[in-house]
Amino acid sequence: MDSPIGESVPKTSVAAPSVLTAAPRPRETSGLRAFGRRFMRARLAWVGLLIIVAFALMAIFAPSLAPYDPNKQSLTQLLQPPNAQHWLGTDELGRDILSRILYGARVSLSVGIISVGIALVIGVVLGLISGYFGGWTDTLIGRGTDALLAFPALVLALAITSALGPSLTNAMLAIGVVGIPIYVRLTRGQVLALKEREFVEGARVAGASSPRIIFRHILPNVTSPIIVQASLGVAFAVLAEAGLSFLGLGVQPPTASWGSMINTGKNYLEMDPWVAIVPGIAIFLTVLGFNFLGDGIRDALDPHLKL
Amino acid sequence: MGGYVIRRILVMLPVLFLVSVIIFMLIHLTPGDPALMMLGEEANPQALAALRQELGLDQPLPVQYAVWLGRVLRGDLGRSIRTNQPVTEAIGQRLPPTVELTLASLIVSLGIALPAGIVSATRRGSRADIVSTVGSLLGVSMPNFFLAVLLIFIFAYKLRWFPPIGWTPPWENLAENLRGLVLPAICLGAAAAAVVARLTRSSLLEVLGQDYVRTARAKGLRESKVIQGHALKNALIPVVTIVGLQVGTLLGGAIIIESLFSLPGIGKLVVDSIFQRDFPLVQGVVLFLALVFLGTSLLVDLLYAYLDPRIHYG
Repeated sequence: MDSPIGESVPKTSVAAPSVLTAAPRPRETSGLRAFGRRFMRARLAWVGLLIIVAFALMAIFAPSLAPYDPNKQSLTQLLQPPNAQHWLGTDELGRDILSRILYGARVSLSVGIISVGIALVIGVVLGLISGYFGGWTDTLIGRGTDALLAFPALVLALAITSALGPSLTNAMLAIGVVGIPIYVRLTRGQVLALKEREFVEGARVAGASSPRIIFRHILPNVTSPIIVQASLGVAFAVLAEAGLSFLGLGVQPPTASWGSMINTGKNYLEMDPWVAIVPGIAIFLTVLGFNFLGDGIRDALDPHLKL
Repeated sequence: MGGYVIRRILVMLPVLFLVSVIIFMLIHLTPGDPALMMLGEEANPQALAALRQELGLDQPLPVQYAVWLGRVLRGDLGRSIRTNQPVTEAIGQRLPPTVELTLASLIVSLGIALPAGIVSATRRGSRADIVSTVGSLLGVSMPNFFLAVLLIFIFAYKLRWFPPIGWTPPWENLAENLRGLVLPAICLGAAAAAVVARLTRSSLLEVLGQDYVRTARAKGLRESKVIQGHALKNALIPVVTIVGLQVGTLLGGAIIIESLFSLPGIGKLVVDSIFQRDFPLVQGVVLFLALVFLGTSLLVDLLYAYLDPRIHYG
C-alpha cells in the first residue's frame, strides 16, 4: 500500500498583505474567486466529490438503504451469485453483500475522517508551536517527527495496533498517529515563512500574545495546504484501515468492513469471485474519490503545480 | 563528502534513539500485564514469573530500557517466546523471499514508470500521455491486496499461468521461483510505479522548459538527443529520492502481499508473530524494518548529493 501522506506536499503561495496591521490578514476575494473558477473547471475533482458524496450518503442512510441486516446469516443462501434478491450476492455465511458494503462504508469513512482528524489536530498544533517558537521546542518536535517518519507507514500502524489490540478504535488511533508527522512538517514550513511577515510583526508590536498570534493570525493562513493534505490523507487512511482489517487487525467480526470482506472473500475467489471483488471496488472508488478531490483542490490552489 | 556523510549519520543518532524508545515502549503499550497477554489467561504462575524475569518486566522501566538497548547494540534482539529461536536468526531465515520480492517489485515499478513518465512528458497531451496519467491516478488508488485478488482470479484461476500462492526457493527451482514471483511483484510494484511515473513526468516537463534545453534545441540537436543527453539526467535526480522513499512503502506493502500469497518472508513473520502475541519477535522485526528504511533514506541522500553537483555538502 502506498503512503500518499509522504508525498504531494503542496506548494501554496500566500500573498503578502499590503499594510502593516494587527488585524487578521483580510481574505483575498479575487484569489478565492480564482480558486473557485479553477475548481469549477477541474472535472476530476468534481467526479471525486460526487463519489465521496455518494459513499457518504450510503454510510449515513445505511439502515434505511440496506435490504437486509448486514450480520444476518442464512444457511440456505450461502455464496449466492448476484440475483434479484441479493443484488451483489451473498458471502460464505449467507450474509447479503450489498448490506455489508453499505454498513462497511460507515467504518471506512469514519476511520478515514476520525484518524485524519486526530493527525490533523495534533500535527497542526505541534507544527504551529514548532515553527513559531523555534529553538529547543522546534528541535524536540522535529526529532519526534523524524522518529515517526523512520518507520514505513503501515509497519508503524501495524506495530501500534498489535500493542493496543485489534479493534476499530485502535486502528483509528494507529492510523492517526502515523499521519501526524506530515501535518507537523507542512504547518511548520508555512509558519516559518509567515512569522516574519508584516502582519505578524504588526500583531506582535500591537502587544498580541503568542497564542493569539498563532491561532488568530497565522493559523488562518496555513489552512489551504492542510485541506489538500487532509483530502489525500483520508484516501491513505481508508487504504490503511482496509489493509489492517484485511490482515485481521482492524475491525473485528462480525462488523462489516471492506478490508475484512476481501480477506474472507479471497478464500472463495476461484468459484465465487464477487465476494472479494465487490468490496475491493468499493475501497478503490472511495480512495479514488479522495485522491481526485485532493488533486483538484491542489491544482485549483496552485495552478503552476501540475503533477 | 566524507564530512557530509559523518554529519548526516550524526543527525540520525537522536532519531535512532527515539526509534528505539518507541519500539521498546510497544510492549508496554499493551493494556494490562504484557506477560499475561503473551502467554494467555490460562498460563501458570511459574511460566508468567519466568517470562517476566526473562523480559525484565519486574525491573523499573529505565533499567529495562537500558538492558534491552544494551542487548540490541550487541546484536541480540532476544528470543521468540513461542519457538525460543533467536530473533536475528528468524529474521535471517525469512529475509530471502522479502529481498527477492522487494527487488522484483522495484524492477516492475521502474520498468513501467520510467518509460510511461518519459513518454507522457515528451508527448504531452497525446493519447499515450492521457493513458499514462489516468493509469497513474488509478494505480495510486488501487489497494495492492485488491489488485492481488483480481490478478489471482484472472491469471492463476482462470488462465492458470501462475500459481495463486506459495514460494519455491530459487536454489531449488529457479523457473518455478520466478513464476511464483510475477503476481506478487506486480501487485507490490504497481502503486510505486504510479507514484514514480507521475514524478518522472512532472520532473521531465520542468527540465524540458529550462533555458539549457532550449539552447540545446537551438543548436539544432535532434529531439531524442536533447532528451537523452541533456534533459533526462537532471530530470531523474528527484526520481532517485522518490524511488528510495518507495522502499519503505514496498516494505509495508510486502507485509500484506506476503500474507496474501503465503510467501514466508519478513512481512508474514511480523503478522504471524502479532497473532501469536510474540512481542520480542514483533519488536525485533519492526526494529529491523525501521533500520532498513532509515539506511535506505541515508543511502538515497548520499546518492542524491553525489548525483547532483549543484548540492554543496561542504
